[in-house]
Amino acid sequence: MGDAPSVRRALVVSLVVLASASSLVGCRARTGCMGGDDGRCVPASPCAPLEATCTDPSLDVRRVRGPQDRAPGLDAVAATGDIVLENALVSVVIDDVGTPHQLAPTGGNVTDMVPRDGVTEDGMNGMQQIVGILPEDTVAYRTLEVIDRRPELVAVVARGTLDGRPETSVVTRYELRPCERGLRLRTELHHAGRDPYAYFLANGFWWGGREVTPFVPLRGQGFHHPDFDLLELGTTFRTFPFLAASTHGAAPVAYALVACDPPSLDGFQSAAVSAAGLPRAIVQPGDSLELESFLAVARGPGLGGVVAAAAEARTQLFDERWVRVRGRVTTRDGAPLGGDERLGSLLIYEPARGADPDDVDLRTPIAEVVPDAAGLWSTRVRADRRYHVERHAFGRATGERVALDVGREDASAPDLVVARGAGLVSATVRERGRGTFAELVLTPAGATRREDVYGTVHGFFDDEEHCAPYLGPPHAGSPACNRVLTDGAGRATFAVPLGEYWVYATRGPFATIARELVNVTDAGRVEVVLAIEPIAGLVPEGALSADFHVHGGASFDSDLPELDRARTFVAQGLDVIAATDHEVVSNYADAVAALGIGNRVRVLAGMETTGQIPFLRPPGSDFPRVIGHFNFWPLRFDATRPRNGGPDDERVEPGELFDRMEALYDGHGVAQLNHPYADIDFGRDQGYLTALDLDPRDPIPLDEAHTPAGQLRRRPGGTFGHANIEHDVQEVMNGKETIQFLRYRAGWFSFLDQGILRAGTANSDSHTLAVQVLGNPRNLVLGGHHLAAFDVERFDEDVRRGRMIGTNGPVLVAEVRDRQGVVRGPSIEPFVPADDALLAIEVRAAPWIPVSEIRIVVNGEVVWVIDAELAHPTDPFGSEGLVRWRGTVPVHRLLEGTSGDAWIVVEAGYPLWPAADVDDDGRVETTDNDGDGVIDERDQEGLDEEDWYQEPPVPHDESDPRFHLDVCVPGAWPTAFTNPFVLDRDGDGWRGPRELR
Amino acid sequence: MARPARAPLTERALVFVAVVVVAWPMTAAVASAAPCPPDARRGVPVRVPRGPGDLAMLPEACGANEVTFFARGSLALDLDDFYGAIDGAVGVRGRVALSRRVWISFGLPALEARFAANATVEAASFDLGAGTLAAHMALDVGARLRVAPYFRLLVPTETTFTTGTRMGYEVGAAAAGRVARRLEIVGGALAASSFVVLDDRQRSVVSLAVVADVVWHTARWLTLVLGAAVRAVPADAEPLEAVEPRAEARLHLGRWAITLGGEVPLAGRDRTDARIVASVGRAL
Repeated sequence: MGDAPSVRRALVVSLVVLASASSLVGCRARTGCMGGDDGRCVPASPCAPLEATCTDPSLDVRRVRGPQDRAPGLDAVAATGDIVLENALVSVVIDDVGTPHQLAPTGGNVTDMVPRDGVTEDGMNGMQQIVGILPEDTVAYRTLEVIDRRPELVAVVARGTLDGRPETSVVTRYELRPCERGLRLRTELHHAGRDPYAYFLANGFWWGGREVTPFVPLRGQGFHHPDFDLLELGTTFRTFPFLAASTHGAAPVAYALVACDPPSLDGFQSAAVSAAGLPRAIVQPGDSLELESFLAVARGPGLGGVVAAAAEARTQLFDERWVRVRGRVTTRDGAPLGGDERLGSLLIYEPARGADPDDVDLRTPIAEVVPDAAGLWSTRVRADRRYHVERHAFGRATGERVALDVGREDASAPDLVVARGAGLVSATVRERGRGTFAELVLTPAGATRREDVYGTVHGFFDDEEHCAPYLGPPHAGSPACNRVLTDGAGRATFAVPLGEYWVYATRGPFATIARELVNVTDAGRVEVVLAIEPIAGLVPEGALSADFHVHGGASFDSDLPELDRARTFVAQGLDVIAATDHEVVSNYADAVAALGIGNRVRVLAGMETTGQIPFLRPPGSDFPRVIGHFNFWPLRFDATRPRNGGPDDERVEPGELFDRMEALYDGHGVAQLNHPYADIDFGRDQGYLTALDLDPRDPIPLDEAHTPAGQLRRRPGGTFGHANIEHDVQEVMNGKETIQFLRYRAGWFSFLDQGILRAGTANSDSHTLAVQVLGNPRNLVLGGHHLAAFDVERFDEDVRRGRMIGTNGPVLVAEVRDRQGVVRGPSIEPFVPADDALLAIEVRAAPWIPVSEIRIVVNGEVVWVIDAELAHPTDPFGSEGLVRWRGTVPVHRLLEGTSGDAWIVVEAGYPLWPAADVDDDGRVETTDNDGDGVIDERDQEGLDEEDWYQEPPVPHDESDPRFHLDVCVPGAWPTAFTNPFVLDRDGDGWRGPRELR
Repeated sequence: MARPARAPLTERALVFVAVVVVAWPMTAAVASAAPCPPDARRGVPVRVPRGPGDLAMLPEACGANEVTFFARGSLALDLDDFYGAIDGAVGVRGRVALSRRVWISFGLPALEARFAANATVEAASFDLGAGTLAAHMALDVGARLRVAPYFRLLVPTETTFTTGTRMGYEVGAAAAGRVARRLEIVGGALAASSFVVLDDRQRSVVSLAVVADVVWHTARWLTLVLGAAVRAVPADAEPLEAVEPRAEARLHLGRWAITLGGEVPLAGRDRTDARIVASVGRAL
């Protein structure tokens, strides 16, 4: 009895001691910032097993001093104050914390990276550390600290927190060592918040959508990735040993990300974005994460060089066995074949087990190489395996392949002999007997089927269905997609897949077109000469042809070289260009000078602001939005400054953005609301009115209100107090899609009707040769302008005042005349019409551009249609039959049935594409898909929402009047519109018919 | 996975000494104090574990010999932040009476399942939870009031941490007062400290709680409990953690007790929408 308490006492003490002792268990102490950032901790040097030697062990770390420190290529954006890390082989730029780029809220991220050969162009839009997909899940760095331990290493330590979760610290170490072909990275995150979070600590790459093709060595993948959807991210995650990616421009670059710790990466891939890092995990408050990786860079084309670098790294890190393999590609005659990825690239893969070793879904790609001009290629592959080497050319697998058995030593593959090569076409385009800049467009003819010559970049960029024949990567330099640019002498020589083709030559909508039939064989070169002529009498005297929305390779979603883009200015017959790349000011000064076209085109430096960080919560919105895109020109170009002098456009409403731009204009400036109702892309609104979810039928209040329409009147604050609606002009036509025209038109009409007078513009938004043909549509800016005596301020004033016509072909000349001889052209400036005023209309068009209808719109309603009396030329390749209709209509007849002030717009081209607003949100979204003549919910049945609206079909028959137009400008639906005639009928000041009082 | 780091030596030593100093006297019988009624149903507040382990869950005010198998779950949804978290666990806890006034309580490491969503980034895990060990002593204050101070230690057996190790301890006092034959008030106050040790650093969170439950023994076989708790983290920028009403229903079948309970944090920083627990216990 007396022993029981003692036993219990002993039991209690034993348990207590045992429990306490467990707290003494522990292991080695760590260094670094894993327990949180105290401002002094430094992450350990990452990827310790890596070693490299070379003849030049130099290292450098410095601040960018000016444009001279910028890497080659239009994607290079290093600005004064950014930090450069360099060794003999590699150059890397970490942007300063105050100069963020793309999706990053601050600097402190890798923004440029190239091999140091002076030629290879940067293809790094941006790499940043992330833990998820929300704005709060990116890292906002506050400080950068340089570590200079030369000759051993140089490094930058970036300290910050999650943006929106400041209790979670993140410290990243970027380290460069002598002779290494890449950057070592280590990121340490400490979660000092209060809730467990699902985090995915990763390196996030913003590829942009049209430049880079990511690759992972996984079964059934390589370049083929699960469909990427932000809303269903979980299905896209994979585990892989490394990620590789390359550009496809003139001096391509390739990158590879290799896991150091852990030994594999988790992530997802797409043309727009890749992320690779730790597996998704629940991170408890107080816990930490660490990620080490090695980012390698090599010269392209192809992935051969960078996969070799990744292989070398994995050999050192994980003792994997990789061996070098080599090979050669030749023609039947033994001549080498290579030097251009168009002519051939090789996909190297482990064959699948089973009946079909080349099954795309079951084989395991390991690398992709492009043979050089001598037909030679090399890369590294895993040892002790069998591989197939498959040739791709002109964007398709050719079916030609060889087998390669690899042991533990370097190996050589059998020669890959190409049975059928390519042909060569040499074209010359002449205008008035002299060679000229022009665009050539090829289309299959005769027995050559589109599906046999259509191509992609290993499955990427397959949304450009007109790339048949495939002449080159659609978003890179000429030849691209099915288009080729000639030089100033009108010449172009290019490789073409074997077959029969029409070769068209075009110089835009105000010149004739020409075509010739060619039969391309591998027996020799085909010569073709095409003659086109400018069409006199089409463009009104004193009108300049202008495109205010133009992209090139400086945009994150284009690889079009600057010279090629500049060639298109003249090739498409444009007089004025607003250079509006995403997030950077461009001016094409060097390209214009190099081509000697300064007397043929004026380029206004500008920029398209492209908000990437969602922050805006309009009334009724369930998730944060961005404000869409705006163009601004002319701007001061300054290569020493971030974004070449462009603004920081993140997390500001339009009004405040307009305020910021006031200090950046070169002159008075123009602010353009771009594609107001464009769809959301990658979770970001491209149109401001879409972000607000504005129903164009809703009245816009006179003052700010907590409604979508009321946000337009909001003045978010800034030096000048601009309101969100105070843009100068807005796009009514953008690109080729009829759905966009119908929606933007509805929005513009709503503004006009409510007294918000903004000039309407028509722009191509051309990004590459394949995406939206430059100048289609375009603006004809009236007002007696001439290039020889170009006055940009007067020109922009006419733009702001709406003295313009928008068109993708038809030339619409309209004016209001009275018996006193007063003539008024379109403009947003109100005037008092005389009682006897007449609306005089003349519609002209090049013979290859059909016109079948003229519409007169009064206060948003079509009140007059002219379709029966139009002329139709018989020869699309001639220059006759320009005038399709000419006549007058009394203004008072147009205004019958209306009272008060009014506005008139004239449109011409084809009838409006039939569509309806079935869901009653004020924007059309459905076409007559079941063909019953009625557009209703039945037209949506069985279709995904993105298929409810069907654009006009591609004309396949030459008897279709749109046939030749569609070859030259794919998807074009002939349309032209005037800016409004604003009628102050009673002379007491103009008020919009629906304007609130 | 990184192995846990070592806590600072000074802190660990202090904990060790404090535990032994507090625990030792509890092992001695105090012959002069009034005894707790020999009834495992008495002096029991709503018991909804919040994790880790039983830390910060007010314990019973009376000793007994019992073992309970429980399953718990919680849900947190914050749609504005695109955040969601669900977690659940199954485990065993119990009490061992060392004398009529002194007992120890324990919570074995539970099997835990978690799911969290940060927008469309989702993760799930299965882990071993933390164990707890506590020492209690009942002091009768008059014939109707019992106060039971206690000390609880968090045993660092958790596997949910990637690089850190979580430890903790708690001091408090539970109290039970009989209001009527079938009605008692059970409540108390506690201060719990949990800290994650990583590197040479540790980050501690001290939370305070005050609890009051009304326990109605409606019948021999049924007990209903309704109460509330207020929790706070004084050092936090938002110190009020939650005000949470709570309830529990207990079905007594001989030595067995089947319990269903829950609490709903209102106000405060806590984003949890609700916690529930179901248990089956047996008096030994």
